[in-house]
Amino acid sequence: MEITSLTLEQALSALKSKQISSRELVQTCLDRIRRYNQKLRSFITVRDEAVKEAAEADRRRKQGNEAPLLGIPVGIKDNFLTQGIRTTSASQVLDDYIPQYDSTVVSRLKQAGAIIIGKTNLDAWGHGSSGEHTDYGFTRNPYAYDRVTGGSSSGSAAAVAADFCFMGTGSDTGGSNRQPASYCNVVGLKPTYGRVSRYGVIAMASSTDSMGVLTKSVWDAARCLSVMAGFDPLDATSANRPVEPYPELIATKRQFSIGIADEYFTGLDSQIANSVLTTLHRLEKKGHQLVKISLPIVKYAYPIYCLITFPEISSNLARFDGIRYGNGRDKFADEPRRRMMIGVHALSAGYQNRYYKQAAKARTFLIRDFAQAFKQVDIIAGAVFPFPPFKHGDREIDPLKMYLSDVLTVPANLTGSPAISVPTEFVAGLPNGLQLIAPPFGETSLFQLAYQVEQEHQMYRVKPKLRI
Amino acid sequence: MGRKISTAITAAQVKHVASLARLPLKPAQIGKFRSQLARILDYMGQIGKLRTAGESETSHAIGITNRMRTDEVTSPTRLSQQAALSNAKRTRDGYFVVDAIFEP
Repeated sequence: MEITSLTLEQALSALKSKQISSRELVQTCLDRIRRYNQKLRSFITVRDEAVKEAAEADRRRKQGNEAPLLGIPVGIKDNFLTQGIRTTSASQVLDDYIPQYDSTVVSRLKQAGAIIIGKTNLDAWGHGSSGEHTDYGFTRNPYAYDRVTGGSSSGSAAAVAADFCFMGTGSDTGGSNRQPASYCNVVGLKPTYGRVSRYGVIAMASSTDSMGVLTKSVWDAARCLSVMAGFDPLDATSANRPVEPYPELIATKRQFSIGIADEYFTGLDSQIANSVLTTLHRLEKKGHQLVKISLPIVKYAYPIYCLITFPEISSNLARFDGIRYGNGRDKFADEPRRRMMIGVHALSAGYQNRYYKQAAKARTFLIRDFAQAFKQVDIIAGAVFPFPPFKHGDREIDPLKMYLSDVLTVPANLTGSPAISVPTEFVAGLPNGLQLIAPPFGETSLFQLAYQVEQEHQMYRVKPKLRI
Repeated sequence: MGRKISTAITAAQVKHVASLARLPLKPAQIGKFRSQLARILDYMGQIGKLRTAGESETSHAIGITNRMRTDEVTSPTRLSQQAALSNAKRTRDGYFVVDAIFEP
């Protein structure tokens, strides 16, 4: 078995038992990236220096260091600041930006011994759910080269699926970790808002941005979250709550009551709907309870999302003035321009009440809907995308059509809830994930149920056939 | 609430929001953005159907309240002058250079 096809858990075990060295692991990953990334474009920046850092990790391990991610090569989504390593947010505006400091997530990963092998591609600024809105060439789906990966954490999903690294960080504002995970047959985690620090991640929408990971397995995601999560004095919205020992808890066999809402099945591709229901019925046979719930405000979730996040985007992107860093605002591509203009319009005099404030009030309704549902069930389940991975270019022409691919994922962001996409059976020959949503700080429940789904389907065994 | 929101957006409005967002737009782009923005705003207008009178606005999804800290410089967020200037295209004598905003 190729060492690159190990899960993070298996790689750690192999490193601990001295079957492999980190240097070997990183070098093999780099060789694989050199061979296949040109076509896949999952990385914007690749670091050959990682080999030296891997050798250092091997030395530390010899001296008895047992840091939780010691010697493991990881990809960092290119909107996370990495000191001294070019960070572009996949936009020409930051083409030559070299951060002077690390984001908190990156410094915690480094402290845990992880090796940064490169910066992964994304929809620029996080604006997109296909991976096509990058200024550096869209990332191809390793399972179907003419199809999209999903976004915005497109590069991280593809890099993990292609066995280029053992984890990719992601930022999820409206579905950006779960969507590419679903389309690329990997696990995608969106933690509770405030569970992981946002400090040093290029801000998209400050009230919904949630930092997470894409991994090959549920245990891998649990291990990474336990490293990344926790209070950060540098992030004023960071939650001051203890971090549970997630990896130790995932195998606990619990029975859950799982909520199914009609609103989550409206307009769904029938093959996806059938796949979700089949998976849920298999879970029911294992003793879980399926409960019908009602989420009436979900049908407005997408407009609520836009009318809150686009204004926040317009505010957050105002800092890119080309004066202290980066290039001029003329370098912004069409998608960020659209969002900024709509955002500014929704905040402007004469429109703020009917758009932004109306959405902020409607958000309160949505939060109440979910709180009500979580009194009846432990977890809400549904699809991630309403349709299977589409061909590159198919949804480009009509930005509204593209936006509607987020309808199933934005509710978790608006309510601050944690959510995960875990791979289930392929649909129409293409990857597909099951989405699970829990109440705030319910990550342990998510991991426990996702682990059971993973044991049932074992989709991590299905590797893509890469091409040169 | 319940009335249909008129979402026709004029070229003048596009120029206005572009200017508010400090986004230089070429004349050729105005028409394209006008029709795209109109469609998107039209879709979002359905939010007007919700009766929200008297409802509170959410600014924080899980209700954490403001957390303050003492007003002092701490090392984790401190950049040296050199580091702070390191990405600027135009600097002079340790300053960022900006376009003049006053007539000389």
